[in-house]
Amino acid sequence: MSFAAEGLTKRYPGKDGMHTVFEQLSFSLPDGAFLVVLGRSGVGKSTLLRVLAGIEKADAGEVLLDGAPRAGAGRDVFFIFQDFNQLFPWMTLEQNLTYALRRAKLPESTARAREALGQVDLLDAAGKYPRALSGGMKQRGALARALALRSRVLLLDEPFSSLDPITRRQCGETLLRLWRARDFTAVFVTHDIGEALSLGTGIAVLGRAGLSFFDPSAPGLAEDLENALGDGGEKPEYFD
Amino acid sequence: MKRGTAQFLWVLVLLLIWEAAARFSGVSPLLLPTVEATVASLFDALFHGTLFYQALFSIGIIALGLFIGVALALVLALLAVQSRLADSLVGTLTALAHPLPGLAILPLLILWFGSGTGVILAIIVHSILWPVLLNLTAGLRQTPAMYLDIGHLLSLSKPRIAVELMLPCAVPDLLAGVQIGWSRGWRALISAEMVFGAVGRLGGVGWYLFKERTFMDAPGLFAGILLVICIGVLVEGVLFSRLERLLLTRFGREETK
Amino acid sequence: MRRISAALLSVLLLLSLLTGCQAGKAEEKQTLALAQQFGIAYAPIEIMRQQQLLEKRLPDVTVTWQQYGGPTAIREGMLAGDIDIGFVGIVPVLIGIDTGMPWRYLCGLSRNEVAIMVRDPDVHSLADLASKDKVAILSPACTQHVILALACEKEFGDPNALDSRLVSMSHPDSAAAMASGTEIVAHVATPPYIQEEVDAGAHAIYTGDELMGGSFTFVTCVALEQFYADKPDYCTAFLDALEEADAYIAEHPEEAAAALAPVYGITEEEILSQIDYGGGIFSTELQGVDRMIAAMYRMGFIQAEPDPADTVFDTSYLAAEDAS
Repeated sequence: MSFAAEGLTKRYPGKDGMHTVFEQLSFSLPDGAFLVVLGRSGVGKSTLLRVLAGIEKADAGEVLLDGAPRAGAGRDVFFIFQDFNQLFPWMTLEQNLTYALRRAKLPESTARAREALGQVDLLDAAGKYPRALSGGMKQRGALARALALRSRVLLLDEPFSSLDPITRRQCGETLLRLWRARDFTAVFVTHDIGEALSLGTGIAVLGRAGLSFFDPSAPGLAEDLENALGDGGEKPEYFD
Repeated sequence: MKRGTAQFLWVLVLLLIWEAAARFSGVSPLLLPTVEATVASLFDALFHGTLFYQALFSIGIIALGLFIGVALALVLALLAVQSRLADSLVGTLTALAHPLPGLAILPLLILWFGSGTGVILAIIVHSILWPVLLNLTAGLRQTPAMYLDIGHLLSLSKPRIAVELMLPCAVPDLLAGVQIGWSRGWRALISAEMVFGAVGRLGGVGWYLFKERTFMDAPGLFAGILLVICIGVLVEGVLFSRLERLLLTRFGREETK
Repeated sequence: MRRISAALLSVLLLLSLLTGCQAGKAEEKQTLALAQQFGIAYAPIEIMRQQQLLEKRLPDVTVTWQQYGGPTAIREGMLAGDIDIGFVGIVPVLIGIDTGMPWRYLCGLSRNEVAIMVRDPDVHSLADLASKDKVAILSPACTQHVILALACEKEFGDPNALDSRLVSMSHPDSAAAMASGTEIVAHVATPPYIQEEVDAGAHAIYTGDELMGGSFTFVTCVALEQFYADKPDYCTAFLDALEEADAYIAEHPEEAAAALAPVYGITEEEILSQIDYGGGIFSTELQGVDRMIAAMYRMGFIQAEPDPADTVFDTSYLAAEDAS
C-alpha cells in the first residue's frame, strides 16, 4: 500500500458553527494507482487534496506514504493546481524546473529538466517565459516540473478544467501517457463525469457521507455516478 | 507624434511663457528674471563656479540615501513577512515615523548628531525608508497563496520563500515605492541643505539656492531651481523609466487571462 | 436642468459684480503696509503699533501690519507690492542696492549688541577652532555674516576662510545647539541669546562694535524709491511717528518695558538692560553706513561701492562722521 489516508477529519468554522468537510475519511491506494475523485462544486475535493498533500493540516487523522505518516508537505507528494499560473512568471519554463530541482537538492538539474520537458513535448519552449505559453502548455509545464522531481504521488486539482475541450483531452492523454511510463500514483480531482470516465483506474465520489468507490468496469457506471453526484440533499458549504 | 517629442514641445512652450512673462508682465526682473539671464547664470555657475561640484554632492548623497533606505526597507519587509512579531513591530514603527516630515525633527537631529553629513543622510533615509517599506510590504502581500504552497511543497525555508518567491512578486510595488522615496528624499535633501550650510566643503544645490536668495541674485536663484528641475527630470524620466523597462518585462504583474 | 444652470449663472454674475466692486473700492482706499517683525530690535515699531501713532497722523489711511520672516521675504514682498515700509538689517539693504533693488534707507531703527560667542572657555580666537567645528549664523548675506567675515579677515586675511563651516539656523536653534555639545561651537549672536549663551558657559571672542571700529546701526527702515516719490507724506508721517516712539521709550522706559514684555516673552528687566546697551539703542540716525559699504566692498559682498548719500533718501539721517 503506497498512499493511504486514515481517519482524516477536517472542519471549518462557518456561519452557523463548525462545518465538517469530511470526517474519519480513510482509503488506501496501491502503488501506481490512478484514482479520480468526483464531486459537486463546494463539496471539499480541493480541501481533501490539500490535506493529502500536507499544505493544509487535518483536524484528525494521518496521511501515510509506504506506511509511514507524513509530517507535512514535501516533493514526494506533489500538487498540480487548477490555476494556469503555477509556474513562476519571472523564470523561463526550463528555469522553473531547474529551480525546483536545485531546491530539492537533486543533481544534474539541467539534464533532468530537459528530459522532463521532452516527455511533455515542450522542449522547444524551454527558453520561453510562461506568459508566452498557452494554458495547455503551462499546465503541461507544471506536470513536467512534478515529473522532474520524481514525485511518488501526484495530486491534481482539476488541472484541465479551465481549458477548452480539445486541449483538455490532449492534456488528459499526455497525463495518462506519462503515468503509464513513469508509474507514479495519482489522485485526480474533477467535477466532470466524462473526464473521470476517460481517465483513472479507480473512481470515487466525494459526498457528505465521505468517499464512495465505484467499480470502473460496472455497466451503467455513468448513470450511477450521476445519481451519486446528484445525491446528498442540501447543497454543501463552499469549502473548495 | 511620439510622447517624448510632445513633452519636449510643451517644455519649449513653458519656456516661452516664462520669457514673455519676464519681459512683458511688468513684474520686476529682480523677482522674475528672463530665461536668458537665468541660463547665463546657470552656465556661469556650473563651469566657472561651484555649482557643478555642489550638484555632484547632492546627487551623491541622494544616491547613498536611496541605497541605504532601500536596503533597510528590504531587511525590515522580509523580516516582517516571516514573523508576526516582526510584522507588528515594523507596522508600529512605520505608523509612527512615516507621517513625520524629516524637517520637523531637523532641530532635534542637529541637537543629537551635530550638523555633519551623517545628519543629512539620516533625514534623507527617513524620507525614503517609509514609502519604500510601505509599498514593498504591500507588494509582498500580493504574492499568490499558491506560490507559498509550492514553496512548502519544495520544502523551502521561510527566508527562502520570502526572498525567492515573494520578493519577485513585489518588484513593481518596490519600484513604485522607490520612485516616491526618491522624490521625497530629493525634496528633503534640498531643504536640509539650505540649513546645513557647506557640509563637506561646498555643500549641495540647496545651499547654493539659499545663498543666491539671501544674496538677492534672482537669475542665480532661478538657475538653481532650473538645475533642481533638470536633475529631477533626468532621474525620473530617464533613469527610472529605463529601470522600469528593464525590470518590469521580467517581473511585471501578469494580467489574469 | 436649465433652471439649475440659470441659477448658477446668476450666482456667478452676482459674485463677479461683488468682487468687482471690492476691487474698485480697494483702488480708491489708501493703504500703508508695514512689515511686523519680532524682537527687541523692532521695539519702537511695536510701540508705534500699540499706540497707533501712525493712524493718528494719517486718519484716512488704512495701516496694515504683516508678519515677515526676514530680509529676503521683505524684499520679495516689496517687489510684489505687498509692503511699503520694511525693517531690514544694514547689510541686506546694501546687497539689495548692489543687485539693483530700487530701495533706500529711510532712517535707522536700532543699534544692537552682536558678538561672536564660543562655547569652549579655551578658545580665544577663530584660529583656535578645530577643523570640524561649525559656526552658526542666522543666514548668509546678513549682518552677522559680515561681522564674522570681518573677524576672519582680521585673523586669516581672508573673509571667506570659514565659509565652508557655516550653518544657517535660527537664533533659538543655534543657542540650543551650542549648549548641547554638537559640532556647532560658535554662534554670531544678538540679545537675548548672548546672555542665554553666557549663562550656559559661553563667552564672546569678538564684538560687532570692535570689528566695525565703533557702534553702528544694525536694523534700518527701508522703502522703495517709487514709494518715496509717490507718497512722501506717508514717509514723513512714519518718520515722525518713529521719533515719537523713540522718545516715549527714552522717557518712559518702565512703561515701555511693561508693554513689550508680554509681546516678546522676556522679562521687563531683560528688556530694560537691552535697550540701555551703549547708552540707548533706538535712534533714527544711520550710523556706520560708510564703514559698512567700505568693508563689504573690500570683502567682496558687494561689487560696487556706492556713495553713502546715494543709499539714503534724506542724508540728514546719516550720522555726522559718515556723511561725505
